[in-house]
Amino acid sequence: MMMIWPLALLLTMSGSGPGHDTAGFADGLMRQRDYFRAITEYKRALYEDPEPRERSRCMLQIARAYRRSAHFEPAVQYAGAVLQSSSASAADQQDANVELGLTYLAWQRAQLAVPFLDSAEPADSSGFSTAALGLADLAMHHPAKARERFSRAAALADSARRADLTWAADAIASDEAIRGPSPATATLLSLVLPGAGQAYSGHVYDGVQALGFVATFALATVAYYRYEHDVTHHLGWTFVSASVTGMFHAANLVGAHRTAQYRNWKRREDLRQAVAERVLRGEP
Amino acid sequence: MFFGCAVLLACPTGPAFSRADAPRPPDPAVTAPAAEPWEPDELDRAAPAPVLTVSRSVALGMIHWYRHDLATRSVSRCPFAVSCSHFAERAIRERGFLIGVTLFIDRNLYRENTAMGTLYPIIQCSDGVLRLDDGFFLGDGNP
Repeated sequence: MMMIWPLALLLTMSGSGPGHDTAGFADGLMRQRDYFRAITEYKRALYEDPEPRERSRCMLQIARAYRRSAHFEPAVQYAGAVLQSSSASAADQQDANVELGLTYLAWQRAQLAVPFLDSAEPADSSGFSTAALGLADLAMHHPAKARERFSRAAALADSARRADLTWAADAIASDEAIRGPSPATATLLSLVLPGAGQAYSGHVYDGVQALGFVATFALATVAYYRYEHDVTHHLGWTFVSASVTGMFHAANLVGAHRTAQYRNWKRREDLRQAVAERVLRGEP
Repeated sequence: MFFGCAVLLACPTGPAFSRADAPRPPDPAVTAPAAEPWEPDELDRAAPAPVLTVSRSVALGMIHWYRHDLATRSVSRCPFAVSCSHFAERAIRERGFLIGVTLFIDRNLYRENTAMGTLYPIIQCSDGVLRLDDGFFLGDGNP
């Protein structure tokens, strides 16, 4: 009977070494979103030389912590190292592919995310990789493909995530029905009446200021012309004033065109962020 | 005195380099960033250097003069993440003198108004201050 206690103690201790304890502590820090300290603890766990499976998990957690704290280059390095590691299991490599895809998506390099998510998609029965590919499509301005991917991911997902994915598909469909301001129309409107293009795109104050500046310089040009035509008979300042007016009118046209493009980009960007927030909420 | 004369005589010849210390042309294999295995080959790594014309050089010189001699005597009050002088510098450097100046007029005289806080996203800059982000107008994030 006296021999049983030391044996039981030994059996209990053999399952958890110092590396396990450190990684467990780091997991707690990750849950608290204390990413920098979590990275330190995972690196400490790596230093303590855990078994290969635990080593890959620690490296993936470091990559995840770097991504969530918006340090994308080290995130790519750690996830990439797992992907290249010969000792990483198929499940680890699957996680590394997803992690690299999510990192490139967060880094706004959607085209780089696609090959990794494509590799992860066939083995992913939860539909998360499909949804992440939908995010990449949305970032690359393929809304129809993104909608189709979200619908496909919703069919695979559990009930909690299905609502978010269905919402994403519906939001994209609603956005596709919206016709944003046309840059060509905005430019044409500003050509006829300075500032009208900006107002058409929803930037009314910009339009008022553009109208004020161009109208003031145009009136000054007329005044100079009248004075120089009638009094000095030399149109030097008229040409200067007309050039300045032309420059301000050109700025008004460029601004109208760019403002219309900005409104369309901003609407798409707001949609992309809202969809990403809902879809990535179900990150495994 | 002799030492002073020796120094004066030595000065025009410039600092003496040994063959090993002499500056060497950059080795492209060393200076180019190494492609990491997880990055695709087609990643654009280097932007071509813009050609500096006379008008561009004069405008950029004036912007530098403003930034070093005038702006340092004032407080930083630009509400945008990219300050107006940096916006003008980038616009002129990347788009040429005429388009650059029109973009600068549009930004500084048309778009900077009381409504701008509702139209542009707010980001935290490296100095910790929240400012408006209109980088789209310079081509940042533009598809």
